[in-house]
Parts: sequence; C-alpha cells; structure tokens
Amino acid sequence: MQLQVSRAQVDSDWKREVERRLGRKLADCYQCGKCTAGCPVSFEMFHPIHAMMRLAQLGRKDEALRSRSQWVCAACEACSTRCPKDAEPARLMTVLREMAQEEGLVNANEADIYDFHQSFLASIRRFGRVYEMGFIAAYKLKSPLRRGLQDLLTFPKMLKRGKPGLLPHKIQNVAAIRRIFDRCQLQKAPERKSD
Amino acid sequence: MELGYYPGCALKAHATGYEYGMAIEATLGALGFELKEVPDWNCCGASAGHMTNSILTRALNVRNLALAEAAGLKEILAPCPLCTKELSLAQHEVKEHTDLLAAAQEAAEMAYRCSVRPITLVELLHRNLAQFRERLAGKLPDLKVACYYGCLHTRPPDVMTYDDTEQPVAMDEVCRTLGLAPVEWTHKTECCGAGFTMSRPTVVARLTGRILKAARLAGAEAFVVACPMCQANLDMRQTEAAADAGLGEDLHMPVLYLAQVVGLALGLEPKALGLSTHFVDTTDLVARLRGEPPAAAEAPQGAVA
Repeated sequence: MQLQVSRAQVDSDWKREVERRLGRKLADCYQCGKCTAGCPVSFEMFHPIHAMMRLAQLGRKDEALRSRSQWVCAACEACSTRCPKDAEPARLMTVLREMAQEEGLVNANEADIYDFHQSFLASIRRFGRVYEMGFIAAYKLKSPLRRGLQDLLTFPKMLKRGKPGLLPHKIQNVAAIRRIFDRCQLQKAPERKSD
Repeated sequence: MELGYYPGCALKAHATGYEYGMAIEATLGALGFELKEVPDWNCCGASAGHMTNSILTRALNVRNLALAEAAGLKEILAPCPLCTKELSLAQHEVKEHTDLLAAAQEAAEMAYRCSVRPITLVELLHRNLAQFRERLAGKLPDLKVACYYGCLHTRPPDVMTYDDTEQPVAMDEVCRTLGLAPVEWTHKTECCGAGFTMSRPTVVARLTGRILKAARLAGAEAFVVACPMCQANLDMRQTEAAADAGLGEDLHMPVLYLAQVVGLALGLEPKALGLSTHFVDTTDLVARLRGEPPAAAEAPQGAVA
C-alpha cells in the first residue's frame, strides 16, 4: 500500500483518542507485517491489518473508519497473539468498529455483516438469549431477495434435523437485559459540519 | 461432583448446536458430574456483541458471572469456547480495572466480587483425565482423527491460559487416552470463519476448505471439535468447503464433538449423544468406533448409480 502523507491530513486529536481506547501507543507498531501474514481473512481486505495499523498511525481517520476491513475481521485474535510489539491490532479493529458506528461511517458495502450483528443483538435484547429462527428471519427480511435465496436448499435439511428450533427461549428477567442495553449504547458523535 | 454450568444459547433445545448440549449432559452425567446451571443466565453477546459494542458485552457477562457467584458457583463450565472467552475476558478485565468493574456492575445492577472462573470442556476433561483413566482408556479403536481447537480455545493467550497458544495438546491427549490416534497437523488453531456463516459464507467456505485440506493431508478420517460454530461450519458447509479447496465432491469427513467421542467410549447410545443430527453422516464412523460391523454393505465397485 502506498500512502501520500501531508501534515494537513493527520488528525492528531483522533489519534490520541484511538490510543486512549487501545491502551497502546500506535508508534509501537513497526510495520513488520506479521499480523497480516497470519490473518485468515486478509484475502478479503483492501487494507489488510498492518495497513489499518498504518492508517491509524498516520491519523487518517476517514479512511480508517470508512474501511471495510474492520467488518471483515473475524476477531480470531491471531494478529494480537503473534504481534512482537504487543501493539494489539485486533483491539484496534474493535476500536475502529465502535468509532465507525459513533461517527455514522459504517461502510455500506458491508451491510450484510453489520445487519447480521444488529439482528442478533436485537434478539438478545428481546429474549435475553439469542433466538436463531427469529433473528435469521429478521436479517433476511431486511434484504429479502438476495438474502432470502441464500441457503434455500440447506434450510429444509436443517429443519429435518430440528435445527434451529421453532420457538424462542426467554429468560425471566428480560427487563434487566433491556436496561443493560439502554445503559450501554454507543455515544453518537455530534453531526459534523460539511466542509 | 457438582459443577457450575453455563450452556450458552447454541447448546439449548432451540439452537443449531443442541446435540452438543445433549452430548455434554449425557457424557458428564455418566462421568458423575452434577451440572448446576447458572440461574436465569443470558447470552454472552457472541460475535455480534464483540463486533459492535465491547461495554455492552462486558456488562452482559458480568451479569452472568454475578449470577453464578450468587448461586455459590466457583467454576462454570462453558462448553462453547466463544462463551468461555467472553466470560473470561469480562472476568479478566473487571478484575484488573476497577472503573470497568464499577460500570459493569452498575449496568448489570448486580454486585460482583470477581470470584468465578469460566472453563472449557477441554480443560475439564483433560485435568480430570487421571481420575477417569480406568473408565476411558483404550475404549476406542486407533482411528486417525484431527483434533481441531479453532481460534478461541487458546486466544487471547493471557485470558485463555490452559493450553499452548499455537500448538495446543489437551484435546489430543484426551483422544489418545480413549485409544484414538490424533494426527499431527497444521491447522489446529486456524479460524473457521465463525459468525460469518450467513453474512459472508464464501469466507467460511474458503477457511473451512483450508482446514479440511490440512486434516486430509495429515491422514485424518474425522474431526474432533469442542465448539458449536466450528462444528456447524465444518459439517454443514462441507460440500462448499471441499469444492473451494479442490477436494472433490465425495469428501466425507464426519465432525464429532469431543463430548460425543468420550460418550461413545463410555458406551453411551449414539442417539443419546445427538449423533444422528449431523449433516455429514456419522453412521459408519460410529459403528467403527463402537467396534460393530458397518451398518450397510458398500455398493459393489463399478456399480452405476
């Protein structure tokens, strides 16, 4: 990856906030590339994990937050496990995912992945446990043509094996779970002035 | 023996991994464990929580840990390693950071004294192996199996500390004690794609294809796993995975849970272990493991289908 760097593009405040959430100095990373070498999903990424580290080092907020990479990350932790500098690239992905949501910069090309997570969480909020049949239906209905066709042939085979069950499993104190969700919402960043 | 139990959503009757729950309950029951379920436990947040909101995930898990603590449980078995990891991560972080503990306690409306330790099934069986040796040793034939741990049994290494991070051996040692012949292979801890099974199935096919190929190259005839996501991805998506890895369409690699294999060694019935619910048929393999003749005679060579 080649990056043209000019001082004007470096968002230093943002870098400091990333470092605060990461609990590490971004300069710890010396770009050896071991994280990308062991990343199982680097073949799906335009900016593989070491490049995401580099974008953060250079304070390139918009490119980092709008990237698709943090959504394709499988959170398998291989990168952080093997990093010789303990720079926590996997945690950087977590930080970028949360910041992208706060700033409204979730890459729309990864709507499948993002909607899947949101449908899953909505199910936990409603029942306290995940209700597979329900959240899968909700996920597919958000884009019925494309997602509805996927796995159409597998589904009857699953049902034959009783997978997944038809009814949800609700915990007793669902109200407590709803309050946890309400208290733990991400803080939306204030609308930015158009520049 | 009493044992705290956090089944997790994937193992319950309404979920895709319900046979894992059946196998755990049957096998651990036969070994003499009395499972004490954490009262009114909630979902650990799974990939969706981890991928979108870490504070929410910590709070959800502190509620689980506090419920276990209030019920007097010191250790809780969480057979799904994603649950174990999320519970352990919450435990690890709130123990070290008092501000996070305070926030999580407030969100969960529960006090927590950080006294609960979540463990995986692999750890439980491995550390009690000496005790069960007489009942388990050499009960199964020396079939070549690939013990597949997946990404979360040993990661992050400061949280999941039981086994070696890159070359774990605990599951292999349990299988070897049973009489099986676990192979040395390269992909023990590679990721299967986990929660992308619906939202990015092409990635799952690529990753499980690589894992299948590595296990085949090492000569394995079946997988032994201890994670409901690994099982579902390797089992349900095996045809796509084999195609992606160029392994042909007639590949047949049954994917058994460790709890099922131990259950077979104890002489439990395959049906009680949920062995009839897998996508890749397990009938012949189970017959061989039980020392029975194959269920159906093989089609004669050259027969036209």
